[in-house]
Amino acid sequence: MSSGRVSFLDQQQNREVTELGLRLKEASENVTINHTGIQQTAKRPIIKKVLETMTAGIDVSSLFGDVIKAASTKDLVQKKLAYMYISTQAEQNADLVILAINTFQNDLQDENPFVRGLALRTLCSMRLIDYVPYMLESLSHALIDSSAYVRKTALISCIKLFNLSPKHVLDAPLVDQLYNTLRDRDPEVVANCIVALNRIFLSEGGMTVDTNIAHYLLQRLHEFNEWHQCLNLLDDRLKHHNSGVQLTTVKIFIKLAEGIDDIQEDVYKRIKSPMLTSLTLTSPEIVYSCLEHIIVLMNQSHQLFREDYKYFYRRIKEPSFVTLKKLEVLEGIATKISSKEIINEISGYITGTDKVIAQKSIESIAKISFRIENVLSYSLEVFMKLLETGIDIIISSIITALEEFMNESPEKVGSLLSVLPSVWTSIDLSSQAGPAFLNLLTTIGYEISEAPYILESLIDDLESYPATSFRLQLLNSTVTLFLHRPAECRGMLAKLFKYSMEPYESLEIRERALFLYRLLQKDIKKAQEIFKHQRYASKKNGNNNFKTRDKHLTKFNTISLLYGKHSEQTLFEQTPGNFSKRNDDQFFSSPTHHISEFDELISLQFQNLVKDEFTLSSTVSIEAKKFKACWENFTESHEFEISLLDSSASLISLTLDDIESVFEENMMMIMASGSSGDYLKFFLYAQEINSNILMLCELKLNLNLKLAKINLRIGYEAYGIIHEDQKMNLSKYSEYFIQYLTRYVKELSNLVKLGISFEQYDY
Amino acid sequence: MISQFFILSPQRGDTLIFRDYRHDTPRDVPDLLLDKLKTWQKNHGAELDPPPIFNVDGVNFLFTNIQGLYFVCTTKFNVSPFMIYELLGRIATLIKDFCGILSEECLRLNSSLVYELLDEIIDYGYVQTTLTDQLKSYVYEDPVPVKRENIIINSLAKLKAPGTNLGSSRNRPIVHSRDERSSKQNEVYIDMIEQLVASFASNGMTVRAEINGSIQIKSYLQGNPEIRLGLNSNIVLGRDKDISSDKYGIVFDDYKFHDSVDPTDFNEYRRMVIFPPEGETTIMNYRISSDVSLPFRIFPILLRDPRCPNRMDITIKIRADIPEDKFVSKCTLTVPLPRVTQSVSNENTDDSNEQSFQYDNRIKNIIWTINNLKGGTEQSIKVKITGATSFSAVAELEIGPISLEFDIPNYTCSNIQIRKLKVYEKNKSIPPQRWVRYFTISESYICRV
Repeated sequence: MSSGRVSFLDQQQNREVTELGLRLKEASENVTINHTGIQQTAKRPIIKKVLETMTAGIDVSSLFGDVIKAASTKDLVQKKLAYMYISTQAEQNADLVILAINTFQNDLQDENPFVRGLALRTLCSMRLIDYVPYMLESLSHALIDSSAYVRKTALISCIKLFNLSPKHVLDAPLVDQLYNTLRDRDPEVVANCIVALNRIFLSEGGMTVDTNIAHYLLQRLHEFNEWHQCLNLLDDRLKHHNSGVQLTTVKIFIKLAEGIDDIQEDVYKRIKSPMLTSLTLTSPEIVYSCLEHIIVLMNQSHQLFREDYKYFYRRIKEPSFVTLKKLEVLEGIATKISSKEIINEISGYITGTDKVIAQKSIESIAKISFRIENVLSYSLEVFMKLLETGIDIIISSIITALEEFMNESPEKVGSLLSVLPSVWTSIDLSSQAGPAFLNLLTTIGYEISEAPYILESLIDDLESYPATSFRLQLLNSTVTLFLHRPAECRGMLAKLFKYSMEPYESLEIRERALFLYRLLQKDIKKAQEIFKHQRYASKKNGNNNFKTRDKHLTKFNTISLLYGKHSEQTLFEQTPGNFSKRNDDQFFSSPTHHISEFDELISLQFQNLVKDEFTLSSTVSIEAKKFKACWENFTESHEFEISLLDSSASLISLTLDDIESVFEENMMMIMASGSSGDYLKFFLYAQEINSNILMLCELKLNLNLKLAKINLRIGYEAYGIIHEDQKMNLSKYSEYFIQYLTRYVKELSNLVKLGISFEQYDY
Repeated sequence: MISQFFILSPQRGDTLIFRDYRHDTPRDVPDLLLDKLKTWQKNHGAELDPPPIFNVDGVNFLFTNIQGLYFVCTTKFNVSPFMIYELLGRIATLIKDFCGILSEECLRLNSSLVYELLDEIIDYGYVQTTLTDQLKSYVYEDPVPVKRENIIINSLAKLKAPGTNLGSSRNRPIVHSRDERSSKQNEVYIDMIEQLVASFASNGMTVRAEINGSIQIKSYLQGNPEIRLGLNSNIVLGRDKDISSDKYGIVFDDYKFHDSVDPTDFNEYRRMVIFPPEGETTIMNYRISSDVSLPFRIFPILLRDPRCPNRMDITIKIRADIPEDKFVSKCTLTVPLPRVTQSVSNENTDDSNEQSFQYDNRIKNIIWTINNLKGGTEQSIKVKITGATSFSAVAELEIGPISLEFDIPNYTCSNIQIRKLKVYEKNKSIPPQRWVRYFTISESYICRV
């Protein structure tokens, strides 16, 4: 049926095209005056019709011959339309193009410069390598044409030709002619000339600019029109009305200030005001681009926009993509002082009709409260109030946010959770709010009498919740609750295990169920222990964006920045004049190590260490006897002290367990530990995988004096004769070990500073 | 480098104009974009606007919606997005300049003219010129006028002041038929438009007040004469400066000029010299955020009776704090109501021509329109709403924000005025006509309940 219709359409289109051809043949060249009083040839409306047909996507290539004839006319509009047709259709009719050459050559000699320019532009737009000689010849004339319009067109045509056949352009004496044209008196010609040279010498990094040319160009900058200022990249034109020029200027400012910290802040301040103005008046698309750029700047300098937060409040009529970006900015610029006000503002967006904005707003409030702890209570208040609205989407999002808060401050959130049984039916359990809800429910399961019944109703209706993440969490939650309240949960747990081990279930679910089942079967005490220590995986991922975004500064004022972190170099072809090319490449080729914020605070000394060369074994285990033997045998030893005085926090609260867990988490095993007098004393060991070198260490930590005394010994496990290169290795690796150890000893003080204690274990 | 430029009419998915500059991207890109837009709507719902940029198979689509038409550029290169968006906006303005108005029908009638323009604006993806003057000499086709009754009123027509006939003459194309070109028009229109962004907290406090001002000029002057324009002398430039010395000044946070303006004297005398290009140009933008006296105050009051949990009374009062000789021809308040709202009744007995009231149960909104609100007066409305079920304890969170739409003719919120406007003409034969208009319009004027 449908194919019949298509062919009918085709037929009809074919008929139309044929008819157009006939009319074109018959129409006279004589000028007439039509009904609206406009002088034109009879052919003009027909050609116009041909173009309309082409625009609609219908194949009109069969008319090529007729249109070529129509191109040789005195009617300029008709000529233009015909030429446009030719440049689009030339490839399909390569053999007929020769018929047009005569017309081209006549027009290239025409006394009207626009006709000359038009003919040249069209001639060179044809992507037909056979006609390159014609093009070259006309170009060499056109470059010294008396009209700037023709010269301008000729320069762009050089680029077309170069893309068609680089060899022809480079071989011809064109290039010299181009460099001469740089001194043209018409600014637009010069601008196009730069564009052309940049393209032709793209592989060599753009045109050759010596100081003479540079000075000369700078002097003439103000003559260029706005579109070329973007390309030529140098001006203090921050107040320009074209935001493209403005942003290019911003980019140069940043580029110039790179590496000079004093100027940097100043530069940011100066570019701030014009960017805020761009936010206020222009089209939403420009506002959107501007916001993306502000996000990058914000990550460079957190202070920059913090007083201007009101500019990022939502406007009533703006499209939602702008609002979403504004929320992202607000997340970043909220400070201790402004955050309460900002959260109050954002909370007003939540009850609106737009779901996506509601979700994002809740997420933003959560992110701000993560970063700025003193507003957490206020946010929770807002959330609790919103829960009462009973609107599904809001409740689901809030539950997700609450779960994340649970990691940060279990006490504050925990006391609020009694609301769960009354709202849970509104939660969209198939979204990410599902597992979040279960997790929260488990946490307070022993306090809430309804908890088992909620789980039971879920288990009875298991088919409605196929999502793996939900099912895994359901297993965990039911087991946890079972450990707390075995009598009430026994039945449902059995049911759940049975369902989860059905052969049609996914492997992941079956494995998990089986694992839990065996654990409970084997040793219920152990299970209790494990589930007591269950810790939330921190989802504090909001900050990671900051780091990846930093690098985007080099991509300022380009499309790729709008795509954010997902952008890839491969999306684009090489652009001439992209000055930041090299930086981009580096960024994309270097593997981005995932560095958490925490690591970064303390890793300063560790930076020069090559990660690949230095990896500690996670499975090393040696006996006390061997430890002692090695300790005595190893000749390479280092004794040093690390002062933790720069940390303002008191270390006294640290316990042996706290410290041990830091080392163990970082592959440094504990042989023995204990406290003697003012000292905590540890014997640590670790093994590097590549070289098999063992490190043994005696660490004495005085928490009062904030001083760590270290005795480090390094050597090979299988002692015997040591080769020369092994000796070299030893000294190299002892450096690494010292750095590594120092880093984590220093981290101890951060443990206290950041308020991360390990109390969660006891929760 | 722009690969293609095209204009889409989203309703039927027609490509109205299509120009391929580099032939390095597929011919069927308009369909690609339409597909993408459709998928977006399917996945995200109609209420979420798609971001103005897409990448499909290495082709970047940058587009903007101007008066219901999609203006789209495609490129394969990592170019400046600002450039492209500015260009798209500029092309739309140029089409308006040359054809008179911008509409689907106008584009169909004038396609050859538009193609002529596009051919000169961009060559092989490189922008060549967007200056009206320059393009005028390149373009030969005459504009085909759209029949009057078909004109879709564009957004600027909204600004038309009552009692003036300027609206229609502003919609003239700047280019006329060749024989008409020597006609004796010699006019310049200057519009000073201030858009207000304001929000009030539920306790009536001003959270935010901001003026985004612009001076627009539309010139039909012969021979590009010089224009001198002077503003109030009490304008203070820049927030950082010491304001105390000039206490009563109007403080510009930031401002910028168009290229055709010579602002040398602006710092000292608040004066600028303009060489306006033909057609419409925004010659200056400014931003004010301190000491803004807002033209309207809104006072919402919510009354709940604990005995009838499914009833609520809302009283809204609006006060016009503008001089008594000014008035607002039409002022519209929109109030979103809770989702469980079932019916709404208006208690105002005075339902004359001055006011009208509407409730839309589909989107749960009331719209209250006031005609001819005079400066210094108040209006109020009392509304009873009934819910299908009881309103939740926090139902007030779902009411509002109340948004207000208005335009006030002959009034600038900041008090900035054009104090001097002179056209320096070489050829004094025809005295130039100068038209100056002032508007204050709402961009985003909201009040939380």
